[in-house]
Amino acid sequence: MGSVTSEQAELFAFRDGMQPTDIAVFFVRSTVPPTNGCAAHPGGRPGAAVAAGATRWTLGHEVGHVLGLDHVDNNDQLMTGNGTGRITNPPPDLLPSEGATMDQSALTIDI
Amino acid sequence: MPVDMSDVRAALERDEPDYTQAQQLGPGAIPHLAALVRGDDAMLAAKAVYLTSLIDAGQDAIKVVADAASHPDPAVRVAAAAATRHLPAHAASDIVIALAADSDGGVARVALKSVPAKPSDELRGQLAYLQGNSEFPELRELATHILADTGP
Repeated sequence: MGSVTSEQAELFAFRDGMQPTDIAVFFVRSTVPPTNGCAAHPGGRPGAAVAAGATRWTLGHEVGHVLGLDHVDNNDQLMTGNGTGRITNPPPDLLPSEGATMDQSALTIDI
Repeated sequence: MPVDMSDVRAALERDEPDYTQAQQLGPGAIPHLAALVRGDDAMLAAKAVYLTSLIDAGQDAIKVVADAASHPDPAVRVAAAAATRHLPAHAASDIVIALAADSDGGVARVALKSVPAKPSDELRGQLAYLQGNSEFPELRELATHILADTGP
């Protein structure tokens, strides 16, 4: 979740047709302050923003945050806190423990 | 300890830079940040100009922000507009005047949201112009609110 600005609250309100557990990802030109992406979202409106200058892994990284994952200090992994542009040996890895964390997220439902 | 470009890139290449932590790089990072603003990676340039404004509000930082304000990529100009919030009001006003007139409505919008609490007379004149003439209704409305809130 994290704290959000009034502009983020306004953006994340766009959820027409989405279920409460659906994660909305907004592709934006830029954020203030500048980031590749941001997983902060208002309560009850799960989602993330991904900037135009992001890497090809930023979307997955931010959704990982929304599903409860934290940064790791390993550039072989999707959740590296050093920047997904520094990922080595792509595609990046997710640990079994990270998979378990995402499975336990309230946003993860059986389909 | 001297700051080198690898330190600066390590701070800014993160998907979500920790700007509070990155500020600790200090003024020694400014030349590297200026180089990144001049470089061909717009994402890094945007992050660099924003960090510059957090590290320093002196002439070197003002020049970096002013240079970014004329960057060809609007995302960098957006970051420059946001960076003016950390500069002294007189320097911020000069840069905001230019960015508020940007042909890109997104850049102009962030510039207007960065107007200092006590805008210069010249900036107030720019706001009055935008109030009546901006092609973007949201900017006309925003300029109206700012003029009312900041008073003569």
